[in-house]
Amino acid sequence: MKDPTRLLDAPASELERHLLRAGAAEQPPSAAMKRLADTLGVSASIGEHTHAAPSKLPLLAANKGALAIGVATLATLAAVGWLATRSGVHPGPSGPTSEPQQSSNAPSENVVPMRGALPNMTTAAAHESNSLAQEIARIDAVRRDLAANRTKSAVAGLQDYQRDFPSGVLRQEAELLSIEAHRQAGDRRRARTLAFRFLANNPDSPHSARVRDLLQDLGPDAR
Amino acid sequence: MAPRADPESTPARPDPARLARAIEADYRFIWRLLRRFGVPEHHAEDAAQQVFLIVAERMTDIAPGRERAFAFGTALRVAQTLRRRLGRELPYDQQQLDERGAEQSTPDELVEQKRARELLDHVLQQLPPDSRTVFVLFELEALSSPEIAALIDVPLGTVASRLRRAREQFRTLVAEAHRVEPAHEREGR
Repeated sequence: MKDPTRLLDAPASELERHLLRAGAAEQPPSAAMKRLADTLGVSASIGEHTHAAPSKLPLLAANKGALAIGVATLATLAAVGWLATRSGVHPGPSGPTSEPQQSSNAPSENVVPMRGALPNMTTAAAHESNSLAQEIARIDAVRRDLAANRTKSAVAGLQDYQRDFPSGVLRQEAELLSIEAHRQAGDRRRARTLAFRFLANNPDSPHSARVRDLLQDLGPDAR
Repeated sequence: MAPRADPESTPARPDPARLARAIEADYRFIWRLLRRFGVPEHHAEDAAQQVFLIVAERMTDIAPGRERAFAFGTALRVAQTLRRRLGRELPYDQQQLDERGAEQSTPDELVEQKRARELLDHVLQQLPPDSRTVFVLFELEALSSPEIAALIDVPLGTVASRLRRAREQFRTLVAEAHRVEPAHEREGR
């Protein structure tokens, strides 16, 4: 199957191309990746070729965009103004705002250390990692229960997790473990129900393939 | 099902070289995805850091060659969680102009680029999540349909149909934004 021509290369309105160019050309701050590598202690393994590369799009975009700016500026400004009117949100000034900025090197307090030191985390990331570390600990405990065939304890642990972290970052993993726990406990019907629900709600999840494998293991007639 | 790491054993630190490769290959991709999925610019670095913390934590469970797919799925969830936590729609991200942009562009260009991205993000947020994902990967990240199918684990035909639908909606929304411009903007020209 041949891919269609991308909008940036196809007959499209100038505004469409302008918006797409702006999105494709956006880059993280130049030092951001190094800060992450430092945080994870892998700076030494990062290669030399870490120049700022935009998306795979051939950007002509970023440069050619300058030529188009004059044409598209009025249209964009008008459209942004319209959106602001419609959504009740003011686009705001272009300069700095009063929104508090994160200090990139602020010390973190009460952070549960994860595996490996995370000395340079920003405050917000440290706060998140504290919660994340708790999530990981809960999920790991469930996995230990399952490995030891303590299915009741695993199911209880998952229920606790889902109560305490209803929007948790690892909730999909928790749902996957829940399917495994019910299968292991012999409740294949419940496991199938959870598996179908997972696939319906998370068709693009990286866990979907595993859930489909589990469904296959459970067989077509699990009742 | 692929065997998993023994959960009773002491968690192993991920192979630093493998983790570094994943960061090097996918950091910018993940950062941009987070942005297009509604993470404000001043939160994007923390969110990307969170994604790769999870990648590092789970590296021993990730099949070789699936690092990008895992980071991608994690990024979608992190973006969703963050947006929920911030509790508001975020098309008009009023952050300071970032250090990278300030290095490269004139103030007028920066303002224009910023506003263009705001409008782009507003339009993207009106697309259904499945369509938006395919649209961003194809139109902005220039991935091929087979790459997208592998990344999000759907058939090639599904990628094509989602892309077709997303393009139609994108064009309609952009045209609507362009057409319904406020009178004071027209008068100001």
